[in-house]
Amino acid sequence: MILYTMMPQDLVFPPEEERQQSTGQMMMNYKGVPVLAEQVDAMNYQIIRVMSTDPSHYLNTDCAPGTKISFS
Amino acid sequence: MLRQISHIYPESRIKKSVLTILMGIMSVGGKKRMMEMNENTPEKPEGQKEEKSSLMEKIQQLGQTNVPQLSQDSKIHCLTIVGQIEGHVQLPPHNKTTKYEHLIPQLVAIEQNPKIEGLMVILNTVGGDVEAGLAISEMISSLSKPTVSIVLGGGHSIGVPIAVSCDYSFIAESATMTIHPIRLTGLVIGVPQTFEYLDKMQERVINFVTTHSNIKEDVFKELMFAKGNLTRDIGTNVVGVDAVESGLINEVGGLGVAMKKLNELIDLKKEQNEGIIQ
Repeated sequence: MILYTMMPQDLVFPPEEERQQSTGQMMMNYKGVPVLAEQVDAMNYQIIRVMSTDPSHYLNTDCAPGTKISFS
Repeated sequence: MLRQISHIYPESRIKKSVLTILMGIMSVGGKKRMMEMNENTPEKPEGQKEEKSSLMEKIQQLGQTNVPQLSQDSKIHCLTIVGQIEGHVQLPPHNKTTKYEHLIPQLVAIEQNPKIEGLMVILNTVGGDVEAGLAISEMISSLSKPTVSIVLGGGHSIGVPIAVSCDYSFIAESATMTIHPIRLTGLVIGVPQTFEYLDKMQERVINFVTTHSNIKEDVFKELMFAKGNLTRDIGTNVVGVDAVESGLINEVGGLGVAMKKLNELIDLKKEQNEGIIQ
C-alpha cells in the first residue's frame, strides 16, 4: 500500500501503545438509509455518520447522526 | 348502583342474569369512556418535551442538529470525500476515512438510477491510498452524468486527481491543494526497483491529472518538485486562485456557483439528448 497523503506517517499510524481498541462501528441500512453506526451496548446502536449520496437522507431526522437505534 | 338494582329485583335468578348483562354494559361503557379520555387528554406538551430532550441529546452528543425536511427526492446527489481515502488497509480507528468500498457502489447506483441527473463531489481530504484514490477518480470521470467538484478546505495529495476528475471543478478561495511527490510510507526496501515502482505510481497520478484538467505536464511536475514551499518537503501548496491560474481547477467559487454550473450542465445534456432523439 502506498499512502499519498499530507498527514505524517506517525499521525496516521500512532505508536502501538496509543492505539485504541476497535470501536465497534459497522455499516447498516436503517430505514433505507445507509449509515455508519457504533454499538453502545448489547441492544443499542448510535448513528455516527450517514453514508448516503442522496442529500434528502441527510435531512431525515430519523437517521440524523446521534440518533440511537435499539433492537429490542 | 348494583345494590340498588338488586333491591329492586329481589329474585335471585333474574338478579344474576340482569347483573351480568348490566356489568357487561358498564364495562363496555367504561372502556369507551377511558378511550375517550385518552383521546381528549392533551399529549402535545409531552411529545414536545420528548422532542426537545432528544434534540438536546443530539446536540450534546455530537454537536449536530437536524435541518427541516425536504419532501421530494433530489435529482442531484452529493458525494463527500473527507479525511483519509482508505484503500486496501483499514486505517486505525482514530482516522476519519472515506472508504473505497462505500464510494464505488454509490457511484454505480448513481450511474444506473435514471432519476439522478447529476453528481456534486465535495472534497475536504488530506489524501490517502493511491490506488483507491485513482480508482475513485476513474469512476467519477467515466460517469455519463454531469459532475461538478468543489474543493473546500483542502484537496491534498491524492485529492488532486479526484478534484479534476469531474466535468467542472471549483475551489473555494481559501481552500488549498498540496501537490507533492509520492513517497513510500512504512518499510522501504532500498533497491532501484522501489524507486521505479514509485516513479510509475507517480506517473499514473500525473497522467490522470494532466489529461483531466488544463494543467500542462511540465507545470504540474514543476509544482510537484518545487523546493522551498513546504517546510519539510518538496512540493507546492496551491491556494484557491493559484490552482485556477495554473489550470488545475476551472474556477474559484463555492456551493452556489457550483450548483448553478451543475444545473447548466444537466440542461445542456438534456438538450443534446433531445437532439439525438429527433
